[in-house]
Amino acid sequence: MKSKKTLVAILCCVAGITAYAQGLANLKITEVVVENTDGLVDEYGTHTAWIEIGNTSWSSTNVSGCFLTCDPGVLDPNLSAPQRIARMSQIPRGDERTNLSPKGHLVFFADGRTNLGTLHTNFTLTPGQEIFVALYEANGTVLIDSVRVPATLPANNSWSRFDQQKWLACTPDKVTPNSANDNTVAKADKIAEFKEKDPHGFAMTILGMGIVLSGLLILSILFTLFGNIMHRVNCKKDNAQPKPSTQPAKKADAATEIAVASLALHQALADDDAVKAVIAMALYEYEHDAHDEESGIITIIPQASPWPQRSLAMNNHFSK
Amino acid sequence: MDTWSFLTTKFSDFLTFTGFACAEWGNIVMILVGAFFIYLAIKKDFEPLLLIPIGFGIILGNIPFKAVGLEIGLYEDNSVLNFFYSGVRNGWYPPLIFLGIGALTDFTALLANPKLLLVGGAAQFGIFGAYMIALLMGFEPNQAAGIAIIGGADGPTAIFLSSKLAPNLMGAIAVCAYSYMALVPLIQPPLMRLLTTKKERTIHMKPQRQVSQTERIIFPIVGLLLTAFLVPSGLPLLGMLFFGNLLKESTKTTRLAKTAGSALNDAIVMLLGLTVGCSTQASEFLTWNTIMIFILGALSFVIASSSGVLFVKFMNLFLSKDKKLNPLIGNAGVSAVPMAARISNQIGLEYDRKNFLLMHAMGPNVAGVIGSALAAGVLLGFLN
Repeated sequence: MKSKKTLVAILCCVAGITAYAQGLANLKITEVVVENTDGLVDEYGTHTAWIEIGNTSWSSTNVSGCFLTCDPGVLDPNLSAPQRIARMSQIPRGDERTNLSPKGHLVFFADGRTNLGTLHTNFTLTPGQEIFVALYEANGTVLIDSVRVPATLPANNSWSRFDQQKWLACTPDKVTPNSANDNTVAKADKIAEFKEKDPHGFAMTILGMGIVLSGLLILSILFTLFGNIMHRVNCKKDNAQPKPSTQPAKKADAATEIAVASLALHQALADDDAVKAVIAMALYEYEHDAHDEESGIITIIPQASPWPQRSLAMNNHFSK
Repeated sequence: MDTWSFLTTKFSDFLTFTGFACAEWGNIVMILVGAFFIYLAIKKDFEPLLLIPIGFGIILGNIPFKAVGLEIGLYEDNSVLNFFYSGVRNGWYPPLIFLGIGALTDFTALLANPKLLLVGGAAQFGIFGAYMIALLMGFEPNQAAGIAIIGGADGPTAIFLSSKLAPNLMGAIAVCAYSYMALVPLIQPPLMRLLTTKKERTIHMKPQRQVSQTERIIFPIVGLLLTAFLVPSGLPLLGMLFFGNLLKESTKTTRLAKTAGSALNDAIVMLLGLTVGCSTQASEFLTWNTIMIFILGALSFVIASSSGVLFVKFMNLFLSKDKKLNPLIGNAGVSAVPMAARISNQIGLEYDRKNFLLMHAMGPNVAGVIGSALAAGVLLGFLN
């Protein structure tokens, strides 16, 4: 009993740690503005460089306790955790804003003034040079995400992440602090790339036809094989079934024969093969003019019903 | 006197609000186009289920009115038509149509001879061929892709892709796609005769093998897994197509399959046709781009049909004598179901009245539906 409880506790811990780790892995640096002279302002109305962190998951994730840095030296694997932490800026705990909502975004101002609040870092970003930005877990050893912003990024433009991995420069009108990046930028970039590198559409045609044909080819091969397997299985089943008796059947009276024939017809109609056979036979007869010659005489057999009987009774009554 | 003056002022105001006062020549032309579509549908029996809603939609969308915030126009927020149009704009009508198509489609012909899937794939060259020509004509890659999908001969796919890649051209693309689908009986037969010899047209294909219920149930599941893993961007179309087919083939959800294939499908077809027709307002439709789209649409149909026929001839080079395919089924690789297959059968019977190709042609025909959804997914993945 005790061992069971221990096992459950261990499993809960493992699951909890895994869930926590997965939660932090969903955090991404999504947008960086190095030189901000005309865009977003902080709580005090100041223009300053900023870094946006996004939660890519559909559940809330808390970023508090994690570290932000612009020092590429933290990548040195020989650094101990305290040495690395000393080079980074910790996101304070206890502020509800750091609990990112599903698909939420949060901007941190890189102004070197942590005394201004939770959303301010202890470092600044210097325009005109390549900027390294990294996000570390609270233990100071696990790198969650990092990015290198090119030195050529113009003022007020942002370096934005698209499709989880692609980074593009966005003009000031496409900068989106505290919200998801404008996907039209990525779309325009894709279109521009195709326009520039595949102006005649050969690459798209080769790729597209290749993908379509290979997909259908795999499907074709799979179902050819599967069809063969099914055919063999069916043959085996047929062979396993007892063969019909060759002894002459006992003579049945007319009513039984009709009942048996009717049942057989119903079974035949329920069976696809029989339907196909009937259609094929009909087509064959049509093609070879082998259909029956009809007499052209329509015979109506009266059905037994109470009405004619009464009618007859009335006629009989009046005739009397 | 004041009352009289008030009356005359209001009456003259009323006159300025009428369609007669607001009409422009473009509206009149488009109303005539709509009426022509209705004529084709009723008198000539060209795809009446689609052309009547589209034709009427064209008339509805081109009724001139003064835009003074009445919230009645298709593009005006909060209008009823705008609400209906959201299914086109956000792309949820086409997948629902695909659900109905799946519930109505019998893949038996394809499963009986799976190599026919390749014919459906080859016909998609119409899409990519038209894409190259559209680029040559100066369209942007996203617009070219939106136009090229007409070659798939699949209206819902064309609407789905163009609403994502080239929303401003969607009206023209949709009308063009449905118009050419209706004209398949006129476009394909001359091409089929041109590209085949009399001997090829009289090839009798081997009778189809029996397909078990197990195969028919497994096909939509495996088909979805394979195609959607390969092209996830085609998921809305492929997912609904195979879902509809599973509803049908499982034999346990006949009621759902029946609803998906009849009432639900009919409702969506009505709304889709009507709103697509409405979106062809004169100012958007009567442009040089529309003429180019119609030219490209025709070319894409020609390329698609030809590549299907030629691919069957190519396949015949590798097939033994008793397994040869009749090239007349190649045209059915475009996914105009079942019209393209009926044409294969019709032309086949013209040359040999015992050569029934209908069921053989249904294979590439339904493969074309999968192929065009895959091609749309590829284009969407690369350009969106």
